[in-house]
Amino acid sequence: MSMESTRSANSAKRSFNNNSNSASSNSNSNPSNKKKKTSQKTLGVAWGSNSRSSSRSSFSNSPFSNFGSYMVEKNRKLQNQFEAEASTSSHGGSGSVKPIFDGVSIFVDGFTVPSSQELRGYMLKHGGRFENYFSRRRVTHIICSNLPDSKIKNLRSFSRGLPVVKPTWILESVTANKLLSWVPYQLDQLANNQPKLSAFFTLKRSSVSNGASTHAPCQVNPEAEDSSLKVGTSGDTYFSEVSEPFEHSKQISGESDDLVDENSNASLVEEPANSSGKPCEVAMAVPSNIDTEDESSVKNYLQSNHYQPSALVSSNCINNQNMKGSPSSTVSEPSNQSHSTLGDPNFVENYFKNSRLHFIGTWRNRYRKRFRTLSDGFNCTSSNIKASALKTAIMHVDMDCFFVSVVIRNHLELRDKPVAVCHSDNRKGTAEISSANYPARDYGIKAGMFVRDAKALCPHLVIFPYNFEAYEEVADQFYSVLHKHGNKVQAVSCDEAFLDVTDSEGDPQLLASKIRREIFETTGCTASAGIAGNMLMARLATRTAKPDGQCYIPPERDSLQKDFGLKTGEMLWNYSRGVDNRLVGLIQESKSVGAEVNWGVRFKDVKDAQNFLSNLCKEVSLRLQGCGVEGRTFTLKIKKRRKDAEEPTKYMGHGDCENLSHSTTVPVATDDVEVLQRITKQLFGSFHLDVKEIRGVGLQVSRLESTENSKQGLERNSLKSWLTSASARTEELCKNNYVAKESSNQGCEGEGDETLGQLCGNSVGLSIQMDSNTSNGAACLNEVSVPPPICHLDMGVLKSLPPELFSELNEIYGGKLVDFVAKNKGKTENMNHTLRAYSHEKIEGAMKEGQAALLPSMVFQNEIPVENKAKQHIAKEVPAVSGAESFVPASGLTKTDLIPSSLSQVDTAVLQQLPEELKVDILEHLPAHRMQVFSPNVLLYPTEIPLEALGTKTAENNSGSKDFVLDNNLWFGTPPHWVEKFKVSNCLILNILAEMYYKSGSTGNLSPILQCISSVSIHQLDAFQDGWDEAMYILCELLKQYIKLKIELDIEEIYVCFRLLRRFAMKSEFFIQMYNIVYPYLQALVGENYGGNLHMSLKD
Amino acid sequence: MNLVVQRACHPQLRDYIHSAVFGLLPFIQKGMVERAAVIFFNTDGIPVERFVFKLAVNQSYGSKVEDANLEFSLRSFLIKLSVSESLTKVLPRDYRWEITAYFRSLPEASANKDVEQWIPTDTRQWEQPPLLTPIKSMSSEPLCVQLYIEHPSLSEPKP
Repeated sequence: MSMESTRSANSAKRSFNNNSNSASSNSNSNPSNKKKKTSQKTLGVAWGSNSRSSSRSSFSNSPFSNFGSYMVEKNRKLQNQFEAEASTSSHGGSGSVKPIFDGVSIFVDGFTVPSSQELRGYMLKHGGRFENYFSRRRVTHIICSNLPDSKIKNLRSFSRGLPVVKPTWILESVTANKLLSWVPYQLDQLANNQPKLSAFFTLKRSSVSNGASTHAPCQVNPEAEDSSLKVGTSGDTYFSEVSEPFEHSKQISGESDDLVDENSNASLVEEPANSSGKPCEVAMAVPSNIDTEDESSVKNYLQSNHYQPSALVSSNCINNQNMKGSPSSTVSEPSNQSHSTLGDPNFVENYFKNSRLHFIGTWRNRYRKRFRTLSDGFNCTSSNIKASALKTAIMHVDMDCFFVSVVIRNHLELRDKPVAVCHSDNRKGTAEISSANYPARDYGIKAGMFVRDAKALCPHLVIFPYNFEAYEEVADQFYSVLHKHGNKVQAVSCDEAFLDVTDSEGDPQLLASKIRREIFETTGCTASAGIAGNMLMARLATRTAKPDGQCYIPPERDSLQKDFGLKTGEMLWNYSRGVDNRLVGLIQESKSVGAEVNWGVRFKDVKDAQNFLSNLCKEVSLRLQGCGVEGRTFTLKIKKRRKDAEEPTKYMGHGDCENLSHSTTVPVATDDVEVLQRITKQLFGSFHLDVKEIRGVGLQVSRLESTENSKQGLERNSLKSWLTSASARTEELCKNNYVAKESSNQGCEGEGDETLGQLCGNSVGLSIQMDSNTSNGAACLNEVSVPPPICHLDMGVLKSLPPELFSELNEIYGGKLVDFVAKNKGKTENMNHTLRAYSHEKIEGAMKEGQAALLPSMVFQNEIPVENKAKQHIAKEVPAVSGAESFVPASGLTKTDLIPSSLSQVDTAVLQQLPEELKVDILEHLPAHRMQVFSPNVLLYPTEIPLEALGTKTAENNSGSKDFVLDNNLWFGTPPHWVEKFKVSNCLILNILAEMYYKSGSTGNLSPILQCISSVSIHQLDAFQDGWDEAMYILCELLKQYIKLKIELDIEEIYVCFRLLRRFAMKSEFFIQMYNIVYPYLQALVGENYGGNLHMSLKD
Repeated sequence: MNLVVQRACHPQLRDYIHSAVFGLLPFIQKGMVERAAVIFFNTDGIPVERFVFKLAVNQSYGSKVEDANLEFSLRSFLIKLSVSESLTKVLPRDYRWEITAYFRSLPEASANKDVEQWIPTDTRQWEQPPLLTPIKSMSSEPLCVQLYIEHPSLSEPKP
């Protein structure tokens, strides 16, 4: 035996020790010497195991290495001894008869009468085993007469799930010469102290697992587990066990007896009716048990010992017989019960009283026979009704006072007379009326009333006896009619049935009247019908409908929904029933997004109002974007001053107003500002209001759709997965890329957190974290796809860039990056470089002759967005930048405010990325600045002039920024610089171009502009002479820069442009010239990039 | 993407296209593929028409890809592709075609098993720079694709 088992035996022993000490102290009084010896041994063990140190010393000289091996050896010896004795003293040692106690192994705990030695003798004689030491694996029964309280309380650890039995079990089994069920002999203390069901479960479970691992007699426990699987397996074992007719089954019976004994009480409480005495049918009981197990129904623990047919003596057995069958199955078949109740021979005594019920009871069988084929769908009907209670229509048809009307159907003269049906009409009048027709009911006559009393109420009451043949006939006719009209008929009684008319065509009400008419025609009796969404309601409807009528109860939900709308109706319906399906924790999706201003709204003219509206749209659009939704329905609300309203008491308040609103729905959800503006203008126009009367305007967007959802396509993952395989070399930049993602970034400033730093993005996906020294970490993003001004670049990052990236960057900055880096190396050189850059720019400027007048204004324009700096730094700028004088006035326009004046200046993408607290902070601060949206300051720049670079700047950064400013790429900015430039030009063609820019939708692409131009007369374009060369030059420059810009990535756009230009060139001298200048340049660049020539087909 | 895309109905042809395109994928991801071309050539191996996809993948893009933009661009790209038939000429029956990828640098054959799927092409080159007809350019970050057709230059010596 392995060490482990010994130890477990030991530990088991130890748990016994305390008790056996007390027990052995009892047993000391036992006169038996042998017993004394045993108890001494027990004591010894107890002592040994309790005090290890002493045991070690006492056994130190023994051949046993430790206590465990000693015990193993001792047990072995004891077993051998026992077996030797058993072989000699075996009672009638012939193997022909199975010994009584075969497979039983007892452990005697404490003092018993008879003594443990006597018990041992019995076990020897009758083939049992006697264990001196408790072992869970070898012992099957614990024998004891008395248990100390501690063991009772902790029975499980004491008995290890084994039965604890009184010694009389052994004695009586010997007397009976067969193994009796131990259940009745269970220790009284335990029987009183019945374990709870839960404790029982755990106990059994462990015993199963133990039993499986040992060779000890298997205890197949009909599991009381709720898991059907377990039940199934235990059932299986049970069968296998049953098939072996040997002593294991006795064991089983013992176990299950216990089980039933314990459970029967509980189940009796549940089902008192079920426990009524029934003749003991062992043979019957077995299959019923098996059935129950197979079905693995909910309450399988009602396991009894019926499979032990030989257990004649067991009194418990009889008690437990009744516990067959699960309660649920009993409940589920009431008809059987009623039938069986009626089948009771007692019914003869009340024959007339019961005969009607008997008729009803037996009618069903007849009905089944008659409509067998039809009633197949019957079961599924009921389940269907349960399953889909949504749009069902159930009809309940009930004959009106069936028993009377059938009897009088051939007595037309009695139709309106009070009639009752009663089994007898004798003079005493003590018979009970079983049914009365409606005229009789009017007199207060009711079923169950004595005829005597009824006659007192209505002297001319006519009383008829039953006519069962007629009832049968009418009932059959009734059902024939019903089955004709619906294949789902549930018979309730002979005169009452449910029909599922969900599937039938037409109005169920019409159907009901048709059925009723037919019933009347065939049977001569009237019927009432109720129609509703479920059986209960249908039945209630019938009650209302009676007599001879029909009633339809429309679903309340529908009528509620008709009155209150779909959602609210549903909600009311649910709430009135205590149903609320909302889940906790889900954020309520906002139904609408909007903005409303009703304070300080005073318009002078329509233009004012339009301006206001477009700003409102911007705001709403940004709110939509902020929420990540797009909407389809747009509602414009206007507060219009009432005619008689006086100036509101609240300053600039809205006062007494009429609320007007118009809304419109577009097919595709949008959050686009321009769409919003267009819609809003339309809506506003539809009011036809005097703008001076307007006191409040609100724009609300509803029918929201999540932007995310619309973006999520199937290919999302696949596209992303391979596009996002970011290489390691850009890793350090990636962390900032989320800021730079958008092609048109807007300035955003996150206030309050120094660590946020200054973020700067550009179109190439580069973003460099500015190691700014500003206290308010202001993130500035460039409005358009412009690389950040050199001044914004952080030296630390630049230096740590990989060389190839640096060179790429350098290219973007036109080689100035190197200068910049060098510049930063020595501060002393700063001025020189700046000056050099300036001289360089001036040369460039000189080259553009004829544009001299334009340049300053252009520069000025360029400066405004860039040079919005905090005023306090102007002083620093001036010394650093020699040529900055012209820009100083521009700086005058700056704001010192670090918060964007409205949400409209906040990049939502950035906003969404910000930490929650920051976001809240920003949003809290914004409303305070909200008013600035409507301030003239902002309205000055209706086009999107970036309010960028609001952050404070150091002097050295400022010096660098000049490089960028004078590097005036015509296509930079939104709108591109050339637009402003052309606008102010005195050259017609340039003016047209600038105009077309706005007209074409301000996309920043040339082809839409050219397309717009093609719509105007081309001949006009030649109609100028002034500044031809100048215009030619600048246009060529424009095109060249455009080609340069687009050649890498958008050859299509260039192609389209040049095809258009080519078309122009066919009509316009000016364009011919221009085309001829630019075309070679184009082809050269295409050849450089694509190794071919653009194929300008001559077809058009 | 809510778009009809045509594909070959012959299973082997379909497999070829599929495996070729998927074989390109790892190289596109690494940014090694500059252009991928579908080249139609005659029996002498002289190309008559080349559909060139010029690729530019911005690898610095992390997980922040604007699906909507990309999807929109791709959709318009594919739509344009399907209507570009008018730019092409009807080719004779016995012409063949192949998918050719132009790498920025030749991948090391040992490095990757995918490389082995690709063999050097023996299609001949034109002697003169070809004529380009752009079909569609999409420049949605982080993926830029341009499709143009190359036809032999008019001065190209006829075979």
